[in-house]
Amino acid sequence: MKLSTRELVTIAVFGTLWGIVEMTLGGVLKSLDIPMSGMFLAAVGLTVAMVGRVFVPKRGATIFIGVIAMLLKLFSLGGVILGPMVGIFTEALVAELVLSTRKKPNQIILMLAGALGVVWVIAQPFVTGPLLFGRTFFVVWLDFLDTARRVLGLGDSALVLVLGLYILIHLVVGVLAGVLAWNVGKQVRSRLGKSSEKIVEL
Amino acid sequence: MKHKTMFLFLVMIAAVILLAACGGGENTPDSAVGADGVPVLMVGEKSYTAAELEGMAQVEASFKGVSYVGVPAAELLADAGYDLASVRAIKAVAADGYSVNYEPDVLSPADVIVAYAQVDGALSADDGDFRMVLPDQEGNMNLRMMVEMQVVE
Repeated sequence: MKLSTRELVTIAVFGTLWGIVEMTLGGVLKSLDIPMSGMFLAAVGLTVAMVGRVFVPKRGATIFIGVIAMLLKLFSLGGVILGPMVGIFTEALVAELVLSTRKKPNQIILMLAGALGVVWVIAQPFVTGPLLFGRTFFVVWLDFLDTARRVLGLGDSALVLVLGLYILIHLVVGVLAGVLAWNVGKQVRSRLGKSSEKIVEL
Repeated sequence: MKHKTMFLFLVMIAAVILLAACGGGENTPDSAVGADGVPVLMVGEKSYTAAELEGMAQVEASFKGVSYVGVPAAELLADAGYDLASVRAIKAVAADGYSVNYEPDVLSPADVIVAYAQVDGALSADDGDFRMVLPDQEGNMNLRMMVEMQVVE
């Protein structure tokens, strides 16, 4: 993969945007204890990253954007940053893997990347908890169920419903992020006088 | 195109706001008060008042510069009939329904306590009647307003 100076600058700009979102909005959402703040942050961050991918439709662009955002997260004031940093990187990695299946991005692939990237928010604690924080898989599972039940307001008996709804909400938000990224990317490109034909390859 | 993008953006914002409004009472414990009106902490099937905790082993522990006094979590669980070595997890539940799950190892240290007071007075209103104090853990592990400890065996 060879990137021009312009493409590298574009990647840096979108990586910085994602990083700023994480540093500012991320801090506010966490401190206010907003439910599903991880999902919301992932959706916004991936939207930014995928708009960047529309601008730089080359393999590796999304992971570079994620790495820049992750490094910027280091400058967040206070709190735990290791988990969010790993989260940013892995979300970008998931999106990159999906986007890399096509030479150039299209709306469908962006929707899929958004959906899987946001759903990764659910899966991430099961990986990072035991590996980085010494938590057992069982306790991470209990935490996940408690969070899902609390957010959805469902009782102990509705395990399948809780799981299904929780995953569905993440999928839908991720798909919306993909649609939004595609439309914003196309619109901004056209305003900058760039042909949207180059990125349309359904 | 512009309207479509704006619509999608508004849908996402609306979805997040609606989700933020979700959640509610089903997981909230019914009561943290005993029959005589005294606040109690449920540990498994057994209930404890602050006065009863005072009669047990006392340990001081600090979190974020505040010193608390309470009973080691492991001793409290043992008193309630649970051996940490044979349980899979312990769930601490707050009055607002928030909960934290602990690995048994996390509650083993002697300075991990169930606090019922500060060293220099009563717990603050934000702390509730009982709270967890884990000096070496992050804030989200130090549950406040605790009303119940559930044991998962």
